[in-house]
Amino acid sequence: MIRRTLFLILVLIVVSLFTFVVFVKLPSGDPIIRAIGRHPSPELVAQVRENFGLDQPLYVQYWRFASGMIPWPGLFLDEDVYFSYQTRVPVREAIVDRIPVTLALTIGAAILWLAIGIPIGIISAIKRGTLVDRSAMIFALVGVSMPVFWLGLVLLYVFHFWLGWLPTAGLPQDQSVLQSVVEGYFVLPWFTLAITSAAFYSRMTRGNLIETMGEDYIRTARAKGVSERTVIYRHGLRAALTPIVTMFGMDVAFLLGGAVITESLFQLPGLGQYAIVSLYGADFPAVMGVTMLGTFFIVVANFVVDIVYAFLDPRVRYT
Amino acid sequence: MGRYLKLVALVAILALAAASCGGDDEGGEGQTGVTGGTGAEEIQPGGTLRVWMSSDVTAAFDPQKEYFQVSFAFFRCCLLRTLLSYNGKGPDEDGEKIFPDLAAAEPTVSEDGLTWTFTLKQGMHYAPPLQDVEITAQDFIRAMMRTAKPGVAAGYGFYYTVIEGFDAYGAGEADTITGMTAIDDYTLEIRLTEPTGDMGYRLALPAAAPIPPNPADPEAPLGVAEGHDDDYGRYLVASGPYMFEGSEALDFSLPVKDQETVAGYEPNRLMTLVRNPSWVADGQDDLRPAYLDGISVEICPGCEDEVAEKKVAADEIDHIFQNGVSAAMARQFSTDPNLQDQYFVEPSPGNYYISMNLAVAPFDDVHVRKAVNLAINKEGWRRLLGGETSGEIATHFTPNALFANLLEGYDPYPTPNSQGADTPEGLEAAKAEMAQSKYDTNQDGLCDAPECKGVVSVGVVGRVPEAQDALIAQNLRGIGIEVDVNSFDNATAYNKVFDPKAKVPLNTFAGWLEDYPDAYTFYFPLMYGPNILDQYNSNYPMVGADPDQLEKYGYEITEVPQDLDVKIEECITLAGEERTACWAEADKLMMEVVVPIVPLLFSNTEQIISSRVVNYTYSLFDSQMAYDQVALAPGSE
Repeated sequence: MIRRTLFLILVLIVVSLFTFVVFVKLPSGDPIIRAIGRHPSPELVAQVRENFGLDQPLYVQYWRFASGMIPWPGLFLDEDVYFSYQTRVPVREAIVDRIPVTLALTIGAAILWLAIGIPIGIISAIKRGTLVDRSAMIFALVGVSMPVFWLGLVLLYVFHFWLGWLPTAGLPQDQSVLQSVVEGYFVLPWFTLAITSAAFYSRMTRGNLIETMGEDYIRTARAKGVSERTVIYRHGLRAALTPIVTMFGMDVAFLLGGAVITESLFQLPGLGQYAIVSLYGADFPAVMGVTMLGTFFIVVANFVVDIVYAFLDPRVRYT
Repeated sequence: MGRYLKLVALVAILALAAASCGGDDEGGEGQTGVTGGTGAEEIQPGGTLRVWMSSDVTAAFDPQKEYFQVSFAFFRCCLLRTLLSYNGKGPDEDGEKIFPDLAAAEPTVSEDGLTWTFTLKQGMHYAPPLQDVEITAQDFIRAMMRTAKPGVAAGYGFYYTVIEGFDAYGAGEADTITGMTAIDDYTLEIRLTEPTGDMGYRLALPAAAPIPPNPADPEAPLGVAEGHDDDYGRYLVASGPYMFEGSEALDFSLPVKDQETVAGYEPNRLMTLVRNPSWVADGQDDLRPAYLDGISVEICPGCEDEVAEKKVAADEIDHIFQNGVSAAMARQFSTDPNLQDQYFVEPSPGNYYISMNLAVAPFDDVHVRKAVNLAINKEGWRRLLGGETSGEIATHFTPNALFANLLEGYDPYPTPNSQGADTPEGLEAAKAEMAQSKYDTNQDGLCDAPECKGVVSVGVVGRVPEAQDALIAQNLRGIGIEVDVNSFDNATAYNKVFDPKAKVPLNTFAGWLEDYPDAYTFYFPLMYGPNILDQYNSNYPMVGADPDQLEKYGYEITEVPQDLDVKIEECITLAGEERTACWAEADKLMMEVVVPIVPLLFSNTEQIISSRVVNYTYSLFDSQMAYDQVALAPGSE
């Protein structure tokens, strides 16, 4: 556990340093100018630079940002350093406000793509070479090939603007995220995110299962008279799912950092939208905050995946 | 069977694609340039307007920091009242003029133009929680003190440095601004260091709106804004017809760190404006009928504009706060009989132009600059942008509306249909001008000096701007100027042209929008020599640069015309019609003597609204639909 924690800290330091260097060396526009407006006199520029702490030497600036991430004596993302250059809103506040949206989007989509992708993969593997298998693989091919921004627009136009079956893009301002979930505002974004992933997962499941079903221990199980159902679900699928778990962990962690396109397309005020606005606006504290959060999710997901591995595959032991 | 399945899949995909695109492709080619208006329908107060914005304001509604048209619009229509303000209407209905707002009447100005005295309306109160606090003269002084305070870093404090003692207060040399005196609660005297004819306009900007005292700490110099140098916008106490929802919960008696922000504004996410009960109780005002009960704004940065436009067409939202509508949607709205009266093309007080650097050869020669003016095909440039609806072809610098149309019809470089060197007459005229230049040694109308080869232009990437730059290069080739066209992303392009040391010869993406309806807001930042900045300089052509400046920035050319500086300094002191006439003369001087630019377009803005909106009104000052003038159709919630 200690080793894992140290690894997490090391990764966060490396990523923060890299993000800082990219911000300093490859500026997409001076944040000072964006903050000031149209008449940036030298005095005003100097004042705002001082207000933002950007008049300090680079190592001091980095240390401010790095130490601001340490959740002591205050909380994670110290408000004195981590405030948006554009809105002056603390980054932590913005992130906390937006996490429920991103969580709702990610969890719903993940459930959906597992619920679609894995059964299709299993059936396709079991019914290999049949019409069902071919249909499933066509679904996979089409699903993987469809860009999210295109698929999202198509779904929105068809199921909302044309048929009127599902709610529009955006969330009502006067209700909670949970209410929006219940009222179906996330259905189209879920499907948009899930179809591509489901297609990919079905292909992966099929391939893994076919490979696993050719293993010696599967033949042994059959020879011992174990029912085909048990062979598939207890012995075959369990091993076949191990790589899927790795992928799933990474995918979910990645989405928790923000599903940029889907959130923008469906006007969902989540972390992805926040990240993209911050990037466009050269809003470094916000970019750093979201990047570090995304990194944190990925490292934690890695950790969780390792634990789940141990449950799925008896040969793996977590230490 | 495999083949059959593939066919079914393909058909399904094509059907989905067709369904998704169908709505956008209606309508014929070209745009009609219709300027419309909803008929005078019965106006019923009430309802909530639903607005969508693709980006938030720039400083979270801090009235001192915000230097952005969007925030100016919300402050004017809804949140803040000033001594003088606008009527929220278009150019044909005095939309460019200012009227008494919190002032009881026009100010009294001393003969020397240095002392402005305002008498305030009595019995005007702030929004909750300060509904018992009356707006008084000291509150305007407080606002100027906050504007002058360096730590606040106000966006356009330079407009107020003419107030006596403003700079001294900012420098910490005085406890107050000596040039502002509250004679009594309802009389404010402002003394200036030099006559400033547009002072009224400057006092109509949001930074000059009153800031209330803090009843819990009456000695706090900045009142309720004390301690909120960075974030007053989220604690804003309104004086206009609307306030942020939840304003009544603001508690200024708490230490600053413990104060909760207003609930009705979440940056980059939403804004909810509700009626200010104090405004209603005080008898409302003469400029803003404010029919709506509220305005609900969804802020969705980085989101797809097209989806929002589709929502307007479907009446799911009422208005998109932005400039421009996608070409497909403009076509749909302008050609669909059911949507035509929901589409508007309005003039915006902005311009587009090409700037030529006077300190870089061959543009140091006025004949070259005049030849360029004759060579550019402005009509072609506009057609590439979108045709007539994009705006009116510009023949001088500052939009006509700012001169009371004194320069209507003025065109010092006329060519047939404004098509420049793409017409035989235009090409001939341009060549004749070029022949007088020192860079055309054989006087054949083609620049033959090496300075005309590889002339660097800086523009921005994109299908339209790159096509426009190609057209410019093609036109200039006709008079012997070979342009080295360079296109960059916005940030990089601005970094280059902002830097006077970069010596950019041609800037092909220059444009400006007024701060307020006075030509000063164009000339001072864009064409005034003393205002050339080391960084972030927007005087791209280096007009009026003195020899020291030119040497400092590394130019070989040591002199550029400075005639315009003198004229600008003359116009600044004037007021009223004299001032307007002076700016018109300045424009002529610029176009005929200095010639640092090629004016291209006085831009338009397109607006689409839902069928729920009635009494559509366009505010020239805001360049947007005026939320304080529109209403919702009966039955709309």
